[in-house]
Amino acid sequence: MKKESKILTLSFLLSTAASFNLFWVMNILKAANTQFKGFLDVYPPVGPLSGLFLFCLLALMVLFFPFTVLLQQHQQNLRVKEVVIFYFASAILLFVMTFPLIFGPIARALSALFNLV
Amino acid sequence: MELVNAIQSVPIIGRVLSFHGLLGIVSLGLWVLALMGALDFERKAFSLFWFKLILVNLTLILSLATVWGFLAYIPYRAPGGPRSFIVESEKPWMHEVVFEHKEFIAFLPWLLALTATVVTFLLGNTLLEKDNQVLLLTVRYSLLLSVAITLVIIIEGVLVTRFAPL
Repeated sequence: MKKESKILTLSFLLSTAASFNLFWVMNILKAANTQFKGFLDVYPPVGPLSGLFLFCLLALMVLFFPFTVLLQQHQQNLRVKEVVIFYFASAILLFVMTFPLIFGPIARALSALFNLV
Repeated sequence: MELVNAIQSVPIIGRVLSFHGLLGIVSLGLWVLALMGALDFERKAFSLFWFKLILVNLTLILSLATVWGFLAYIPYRAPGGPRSFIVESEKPWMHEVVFEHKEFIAFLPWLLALTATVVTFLLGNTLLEKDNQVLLLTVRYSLLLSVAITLVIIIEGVLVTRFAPL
């Protein structure tokens, strides 16, 4: 029971961290590509932000299950510290990478790359 | 009665925006209680039941504040709204940097609070065990990070609202 609770806890931390990372990556892609921006425009009055929130939340819910299965298969070797570090690093990365002065130049470089290809 | 009249005289969008800000401020009070609970866990003076109740309320308030923020965001970004005003002004960075950052980091506080809540519900008093020290720290630091980011969001919101009132 204790082990099961720990596995579920770590799965939730991993899926939340994955969701954080997906958010800032999708944000950069949104700024770099107008088609992707259009794809994220799920609710037009709110704009692409609606898609960003929705898809990242869906990712959190969906990823919880495979992470739980993965951790159950490796339950003898649960790396709690590494998971927690990944979770906090992902939160801080989201905070930093969504700052326009940081993601802006990256998005512009990506956009130039998309135009070349 | 005067209070009711005063509230009714404010445009609907003003009421939406004010409620959004109020939820942010209310969450700060809940954070103080949640952090007290998280830090006092070892002495058990703060019972697990109350700690869980505070965490659930904190997560609900923050979720509501995030959803309400979307309601306030709709007129903000509508044609002719404050966004257009700011972008065409001498300080377009107020939207392009300050407000945009606020929009994105709004994803964090309620999820961090939710994580602290989920971990506490799943592990309960076993958080006090030596093996789970790292996870107890996860609860504490999730709450601390959540309140720090909310303060940044509030400051960014106030900066923009002062420049371009809705």
